[in-house]
Amino acid sequence: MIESKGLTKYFGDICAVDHVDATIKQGSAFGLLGTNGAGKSTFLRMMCGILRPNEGTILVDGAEVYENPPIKQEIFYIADEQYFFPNTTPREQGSFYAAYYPRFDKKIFNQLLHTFELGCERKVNTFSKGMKKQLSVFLALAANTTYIICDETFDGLDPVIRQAVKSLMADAMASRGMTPIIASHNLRELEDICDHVGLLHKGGLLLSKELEEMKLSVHKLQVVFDHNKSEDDFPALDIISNKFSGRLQTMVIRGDEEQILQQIQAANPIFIEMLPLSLEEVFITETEVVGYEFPHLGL
Amino acid sequence: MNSPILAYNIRFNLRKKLWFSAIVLLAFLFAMPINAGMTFQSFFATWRSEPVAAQKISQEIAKLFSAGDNFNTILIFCIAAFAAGLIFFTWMHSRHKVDLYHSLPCSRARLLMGNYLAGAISVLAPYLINLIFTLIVVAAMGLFPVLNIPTMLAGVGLNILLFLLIYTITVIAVILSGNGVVSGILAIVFLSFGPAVINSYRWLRAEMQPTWFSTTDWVALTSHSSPVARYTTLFFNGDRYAIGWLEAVIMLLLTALLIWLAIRLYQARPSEAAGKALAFPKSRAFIKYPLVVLSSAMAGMFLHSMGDIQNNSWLWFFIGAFLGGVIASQLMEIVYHADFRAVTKRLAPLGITMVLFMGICALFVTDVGGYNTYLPKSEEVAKVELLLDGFNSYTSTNYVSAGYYEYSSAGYLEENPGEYADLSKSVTIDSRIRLGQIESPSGIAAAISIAEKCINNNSNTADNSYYWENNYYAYPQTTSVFIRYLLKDGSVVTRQYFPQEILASDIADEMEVIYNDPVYRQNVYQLFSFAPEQIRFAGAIAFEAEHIQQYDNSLTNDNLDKDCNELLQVYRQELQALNGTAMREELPIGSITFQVYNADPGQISKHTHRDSYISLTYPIYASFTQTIELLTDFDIEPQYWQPDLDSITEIKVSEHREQGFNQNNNQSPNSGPAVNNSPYLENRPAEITIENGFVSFNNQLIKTEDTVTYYYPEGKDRETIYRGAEDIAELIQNSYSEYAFLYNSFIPQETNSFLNVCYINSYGGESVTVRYFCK
Repeated sequence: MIESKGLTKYFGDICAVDHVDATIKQGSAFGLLGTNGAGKSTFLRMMCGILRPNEGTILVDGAEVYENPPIKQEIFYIADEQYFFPNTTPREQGSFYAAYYPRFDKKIFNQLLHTFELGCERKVNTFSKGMKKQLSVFLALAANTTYIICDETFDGLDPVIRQAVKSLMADAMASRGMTPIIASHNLRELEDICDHVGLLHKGGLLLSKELEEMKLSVHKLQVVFDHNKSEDDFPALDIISNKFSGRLQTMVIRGDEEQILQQIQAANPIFIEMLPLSLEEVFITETEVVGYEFPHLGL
Repeated sequence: MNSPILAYNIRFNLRKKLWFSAIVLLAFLFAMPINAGMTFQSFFATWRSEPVAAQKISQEIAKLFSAGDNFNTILIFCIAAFAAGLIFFTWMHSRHKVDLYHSLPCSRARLLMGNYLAGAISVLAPYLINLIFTLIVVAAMGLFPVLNIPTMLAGVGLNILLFLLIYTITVIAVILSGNGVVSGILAIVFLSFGPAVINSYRWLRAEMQPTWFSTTDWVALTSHSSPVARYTTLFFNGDRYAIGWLEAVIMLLLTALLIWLAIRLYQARPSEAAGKALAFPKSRAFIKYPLVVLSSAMAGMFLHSMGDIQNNSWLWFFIGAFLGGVIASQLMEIVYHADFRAVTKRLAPLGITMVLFMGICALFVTDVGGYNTYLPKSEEVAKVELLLDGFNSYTSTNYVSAGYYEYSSAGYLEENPGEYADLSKSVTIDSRIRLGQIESPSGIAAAISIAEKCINNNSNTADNSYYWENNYYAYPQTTSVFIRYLLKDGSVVTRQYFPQEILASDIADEMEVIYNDPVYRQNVYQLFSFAPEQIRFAGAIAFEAEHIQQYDNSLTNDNLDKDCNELLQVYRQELQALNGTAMREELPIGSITFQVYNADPGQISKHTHRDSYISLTYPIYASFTQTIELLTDFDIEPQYWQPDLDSITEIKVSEHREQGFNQNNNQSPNSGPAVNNSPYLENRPAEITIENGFVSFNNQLIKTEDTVTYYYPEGKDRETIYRGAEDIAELIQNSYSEYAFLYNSFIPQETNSFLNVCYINSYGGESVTVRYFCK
């Protein structure tokens, strides 16, 4: 389990991560969402012991991760732009990581290279960006660590490889309880693989919930009343947003589905439909609440 | 991480930087085995038939392996240490690389050591490989028997130590900074900051307080302020500044301490420092302001030296100091922020720094505390130590070894004390001051009087110091005075003066009193400071009317025999008995020379010359009857020649010069290089002759009571009135009395058939010679 308490990181005068409390259970897949500059990478870099927090702690399996090699043997960090030594081959890179990660499985690594047709002896600097991403994922999977921390890892992969990588991760989660922590802007991808989501904005954690719970706690409705209703007409509901398109109202409401429907029905709507809420909509909705929106743009 | 992984880390880093090791290997290949082969081949060709071949080859081999003799090796080690520090740690400046390394399950200490050891091995392995190649070359040439294994191992050890010091300092610079350029600059700053500060301080004090005299061994201090300086000092001044075992152990401990510091700094180094100018924001001020002050001082010195020193150029110093400080400070702000707009940042702290620094400088320049005019009261002084340098007195180095005449300026000694220290530990300026210890109240008062004359002679300005140093050969008689007061309250005050216009005659009365002090005489003659078994009689010369008798024992007798011991004992007694008053009344009638051998203290980094000696030449006076008697065994019979006025037909004063004489200016009528050329002598404007009691000036008879103005080379004009034959005796008396305490006046420089009392200053033949031509 990874647990951060009051985790704070400053870069000069800039507060990149601001008192973040989060818990990532072992065996779950944690998706880290965030606005641009929210501090996702900083959070992840503290999680794997690269950065030392200014305040707070981050515990991995109950121990501080910074300058703690035994704990770091359980964590593999895939950076947004993973560094590979110049003029090295995938095999040499594998040997390098094998020296540091005691459970590194060269057999699996070679098998993955072979399966995905990444030449063992080809110079890594001749690889495309996507191939390098693949290589870093294969290195991470072969390292057999409990935690894999992926910073924008899926963004450079083509759909087929992305699907394959998801399968490999799901397999590792199932077989050995691996915990991937994935930061990405591609919420659709996270929705597929993650069961727990954290949302960072301006260094602070807006929410951290099970994905299903998150979806169940926020609801989107399209409603038509005989005349438009405002938030004031439903004082018992926690209406996050209420947009009008003619007489068609789109409402995003936080709370229990049955209670919401009951309240709306009581206002005698002409039409009512409950719409599924995607993770992206949850993201937009939650960040809008804290003022992250640019409504009147135009050139 | 266990040690096999550390070994893997080292191997991995070495493999990545194999190109660097290859370059180092090639460089050492040329500097060591190829150099050895060429050197020995040349030596065989030159020395094969010489009996000293083995010794010379042994010396060459020692040079090849020693830490301070092979400049190529020094250069390679310095550059390689600097380059290795940058190359093996440059990853710290890239965020992606830092993220990779710091995400690995490896402690920072071991990560650093993996890189550190790889960097060290990448240089030391090629060195050791080439060392083996060199030994193979030595063996192939049949020179293995003359190879001194302990000396070789000591040299190798020192090379490794100095390399590690430079390398570790560079690594620390890389850890402290966040990008490659700043790392390189910071490493250069760290390696040169000590020498720059020390020499700037020395320059500032010397220029601002021209009477300041420091007994500090600046070369030693500078060399210990940086491993690069230590390395180069070893090459240029190795005999004097060789590294002993204790220092080697200290260097080893220092290296270990620096490695520990590097680890601690790296552990504290934030990963996000990559790409920034400095890794630790708090270190900005600590690095910036010392550099600002140093830059300010150096820029001030530069403009001051470029300005007109004869006139006051301190204004230029302050302009330079201001500009240097501002430019350095704001350049660093630009680098710190990687933004030119930062040029206006932190002006207030800069202003405070500049005001403080320039204010302190102003206090020194204006001599607010009266430092340069300090004179103690006689009753406050317990002892005085006095050195009149450039005055050719007995405390001068000149008499210590005639062979070092031309290098005997105080400045040279200060810069190169090793030249003398190798021969005698007692010939640095500081120790020569001690030679002139005076204890009698009258002597103390006389010494203070000399200091007062120096102060009144405008010697408290930097201009005199400048002229003394730069026109030393043009003003050979210029006296430099070093004086140390040992006060009754236990404090010690030392001053130096560079008066331009004080002549020997101006302080002759004081010198007489000082030489009347038996303690001074005991101290000032270095002959008394050596054990008799160190001293051998080397020869004597008698000045006579008819010819000069000379006995040269310097090459024929290696052992001091009984007669010579007796001669030494007798001479010492008579020399000790000769007081100042007698020195002014008597003319030396000969000179005697002794040689003193010096033991080799033993050093590990440089071979030394065990057969070195110094020559001590002293005068023989007519009153030294016992010495004169013993010298007859060597066919030397010094006799006092009493000038018989009736016998004198002519006195010729020659080689005096006009005021404003400038040796370095060929346009000058009596410029230096032409002094001894006869055409110039013929055209000399002031040929004075006295013939049959009459004085001629440029072949024109001067009538009785005519006044002739002529010039001594001190640059000071003298008016002498010749009234006729009766004044010749006065002329003779005045001549030698004036120079009574100028020792070298009594060393004859040429042989002729006339009585030849030469007042020679011995600086490249520029001299005042007074010849008494007999019937």
